[in-house]
Amino acid sequence: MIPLRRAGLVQAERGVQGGYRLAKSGITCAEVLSASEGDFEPVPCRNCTRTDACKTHQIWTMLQSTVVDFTSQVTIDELASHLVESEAGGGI
Amino acid sequence: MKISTRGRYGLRLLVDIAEHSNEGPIALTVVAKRQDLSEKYLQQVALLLTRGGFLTSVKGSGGGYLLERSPASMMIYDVLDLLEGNICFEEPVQGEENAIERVIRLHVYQKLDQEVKKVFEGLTLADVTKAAWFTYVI
Repeated sequence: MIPLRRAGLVQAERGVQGGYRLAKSGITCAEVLSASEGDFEPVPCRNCTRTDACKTHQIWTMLQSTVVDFTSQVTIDELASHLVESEAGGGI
Repeated sequence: MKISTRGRYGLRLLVDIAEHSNEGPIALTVVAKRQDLSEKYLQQVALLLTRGGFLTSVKGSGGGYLLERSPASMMIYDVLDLLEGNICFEEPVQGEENAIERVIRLHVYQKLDQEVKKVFEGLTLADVTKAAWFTYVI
């Protein structure tokens, strides 16, 4: 929870009735993953000197942006609504 | 998901051989030097790529590796799938799966895998060896 709180995604409340709540609406999976795991990098090429000449590097860039773009579009609210549907027997 | 050294080096090996395909069989020593990779490691990866139907080995002096077929018929997704075991974010369900895990698996990881597959669809080794394929993909 600490990385999520530091990233401003959850708020903590102290006390007997305390706990955590989402700090805002519209939080995306990309925000959560980036806060908990760091930025998504499928390959450790960040400090490689061959990047410009490396043709495979473009594949990894493509993979990376696909993952970041997709997870930026999925919100926690949306996932929660699927959960409600499934609990109501509406299927997932 | 992280791509392992096997996936990264294997793809570099294949791209290197594709780019020098007019030179006949390519010895791994040459690729190792050109790509600054360990030859011993390349041997393991080359064996895997040969079994997977992407490379063919030519024995004897002047021997080495050739592409098994045209680079235009080799899908990058298939190469990675072979080298990495699979390139999926979705993992098989182990034990009991609760409702939240199930929603995340189906609505995040499964859909993300479909997205990755869609983006890679049609991308061949021939595209990658062309310098400007990236603009073509977008």
